[in-house]
Amino acid sequence: MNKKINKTILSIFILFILVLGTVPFWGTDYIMFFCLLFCVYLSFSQMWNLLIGFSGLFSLGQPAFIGLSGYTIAVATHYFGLSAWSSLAIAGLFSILFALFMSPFIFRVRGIYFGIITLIFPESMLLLFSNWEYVKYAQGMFIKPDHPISITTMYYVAFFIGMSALATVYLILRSNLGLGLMAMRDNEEVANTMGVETFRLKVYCFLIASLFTGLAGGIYYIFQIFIQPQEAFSIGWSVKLIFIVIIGGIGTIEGPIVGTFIFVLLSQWLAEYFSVSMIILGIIAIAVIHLAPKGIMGTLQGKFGLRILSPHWE
Amino acid sequence: MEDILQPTLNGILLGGLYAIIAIGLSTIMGIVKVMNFSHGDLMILSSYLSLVFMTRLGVSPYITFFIVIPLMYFIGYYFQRFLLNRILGKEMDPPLIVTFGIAIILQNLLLLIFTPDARTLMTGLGLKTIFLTEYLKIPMNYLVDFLIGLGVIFFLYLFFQKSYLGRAIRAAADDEIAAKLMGINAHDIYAKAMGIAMITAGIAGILVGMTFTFYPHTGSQYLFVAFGVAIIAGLGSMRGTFIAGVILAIAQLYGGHFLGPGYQMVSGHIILLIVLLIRPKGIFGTV
Amino acid sequence: MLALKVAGLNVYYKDFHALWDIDLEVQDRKIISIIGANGAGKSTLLNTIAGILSPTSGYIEFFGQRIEGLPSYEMVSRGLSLVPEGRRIFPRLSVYENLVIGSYLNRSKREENLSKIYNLFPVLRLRSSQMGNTLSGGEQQMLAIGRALMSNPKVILCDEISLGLAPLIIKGIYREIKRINNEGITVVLVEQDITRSLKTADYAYFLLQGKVVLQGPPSSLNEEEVKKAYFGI
Repeated sequence: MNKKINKTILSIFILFILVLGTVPFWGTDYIMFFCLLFCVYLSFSQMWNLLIGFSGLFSLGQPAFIGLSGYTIAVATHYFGLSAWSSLAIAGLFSILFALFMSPFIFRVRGIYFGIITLIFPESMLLLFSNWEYVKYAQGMFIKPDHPISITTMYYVAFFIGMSALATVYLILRSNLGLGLMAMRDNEEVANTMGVETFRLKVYCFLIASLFTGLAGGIYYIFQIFIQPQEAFSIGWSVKLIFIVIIGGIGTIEGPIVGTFIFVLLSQWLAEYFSVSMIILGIIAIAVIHLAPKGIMGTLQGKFGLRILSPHWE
Repeated sequence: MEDILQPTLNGILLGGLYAIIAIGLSTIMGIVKVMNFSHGDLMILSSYLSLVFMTRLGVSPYITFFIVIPLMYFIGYYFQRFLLNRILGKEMDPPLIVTFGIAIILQNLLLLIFTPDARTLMTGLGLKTIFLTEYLKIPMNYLVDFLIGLGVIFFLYLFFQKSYLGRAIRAAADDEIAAKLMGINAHDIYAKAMGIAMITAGIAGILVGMTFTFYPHTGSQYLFVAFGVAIIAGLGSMRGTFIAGVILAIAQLYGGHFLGPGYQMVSGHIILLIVLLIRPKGIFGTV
Repeated sequence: MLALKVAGLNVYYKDFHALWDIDLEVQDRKIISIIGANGAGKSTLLNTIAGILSPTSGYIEFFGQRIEGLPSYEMVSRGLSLVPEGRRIFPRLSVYENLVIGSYLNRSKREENLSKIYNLFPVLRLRSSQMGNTLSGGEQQMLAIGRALMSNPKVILCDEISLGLAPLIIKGIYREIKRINNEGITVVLVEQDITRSLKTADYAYFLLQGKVVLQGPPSSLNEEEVKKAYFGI
């Protein structure tokens, strides 16, 4: 019975991907915009879920990669005349390098400090970039590659990044790395005694997450055309991610998909009022943590064994 | 070289204030083992509360101490009791998410209610200074902050060392199960500890409001101050917190002095990261 | 009068059925031993009585009052104290503070009890301002017992108090246990050390894989029975 439901949902899911992949052919510009945002946030949230849901890393440092990536592209296209796509590739590289830079600081402390130490990086970058003449201080920069890019191309890049993020998480969890993560999530000390190098796993996940977060951030800014420090490194990104992952269900692969969908819908509605939207997202996240800590997909999984993508070790 | 004396002196005085800001966060981290992301925002909340009472009742900020401080105790007590106690357990993340959520909600609520305008709690002290030499002066409000900071830390130290509740809190922090076996209701203790932490945050908030201008986002700036002090000090030492406060303040002021005012906060962050690299346990860390 | 009565107790430790239908009686002012090998369920039993764990079925009566399922911090006020497995003294509190916390609910008798404990364990008076984690194993054990006594309990539960201690020290501690009992306090001892338990106790229960397999006054038990009950062969 459960297998049948799972199969149906799997087909719906595949259909959904096909629909998403063909949007430029049948959708309006507005729908494409919506779907592009979906793909971008899907990457962010899959990665954030990998960190918090599977590796136990409450990272508030993701905005560092988003902003760094955006600015790399801005600088590369503006000062060096590089194409958007080479800039994007470099941005991805820089994200990983920055994650490597962060690692000795964030992994040396005990668990409860991890969150706030990761937060220091985007906060510091916000201050530094606002005071930096090269990037035009807090006024921001335009991203204008020499060759204009069509929206369709942008969309497919975003789609590709989003699906890659999803596929990467899926493959990781089914690999040995994933097995180690599960063990670590359950009981880190015991996992260590079984030979699971928990420290290394965490760093790997952090690096992978930085790559996809950076790439998704990059395409977001290519689309946005304009970048400013207050927005690029803003803590608001983290608030949105927390909301998505909690509502969707921490520690499930389907969770962020559902959460992203709900969020992108909601954000169109709340677009006008930043502060109010932050308050609402915050309240919902807290309420969900208290009342349904596993989120939508987590609760469904628990009650009905609804398992499409998430691994289940028999 | 002489003009480094003023930032140094200011740093020492400011350190006292930074110590009170930090002690609430440090205490909760050590006892309930939760990183309270909303600590800074709760502190600034008390600044705004003081502002409200000041303007509504037409009293000086000093009088507002008597209203705001008890209010902060109850805010802390019920915050712990209803929002945090229920989700304490093996998983580290839910409390982090809740405190983070509260921080965001508070910040944005304050923004909506009070607008992004700069505020301050006016007292006569802001204008007074004591001149030690022709070039060296002590700003009066910094001095007051320092003395109150010293007093609060000292009083808190006595509380934890000598009082029954203080000992019970320390026992619960050491071993929750064993404490329960002594008849100590751990969750109730945590709520009281949070109340006490909020008292210190309330004092800090009013002092900050009297000394500097504040905005809705000032809270998160001070969160980093509090955290920086906690890391530099290492958990578990009151004396360490005070000294760490001075260190961080001096680092910030030197950064502002040599690099420019925009770099003041960042200098603090850099010192924090350096300490993390070379001595993650902190200078006085006992844990 | 029964100090403790346990009837039909079933306790699960996570998914593991740790205790099966335990029936047990502890007479007031006596010393009862609960003996068994590692994993037999002895600590689980004490922890359940002390309120750290909750049973899924069965009940526990303390001087006629039902206490099963009550949280552990309610036990002290009723007169039940646990000396936990592994001692669990507060490492960052001084000896004096550890003892004084023991009388958290009972402050009026504090000074009186304190001098009694210092007389019982003079080394604690010597080390009264030292931090808990600087004491030796034997001293920590004495501290844990002293702490449990500070609340004037009617019943004291002792979980493996001889673990990791030298035989001479153990002898001394058991001497004090007998002394405490003479003052009218009921003692429930959980031990792996059969000989010592049987020598001290008025009545013994043997646990094997979560079930009571043998019970009786030590004098009535023969070696064969005891071996079977302990090792399960």
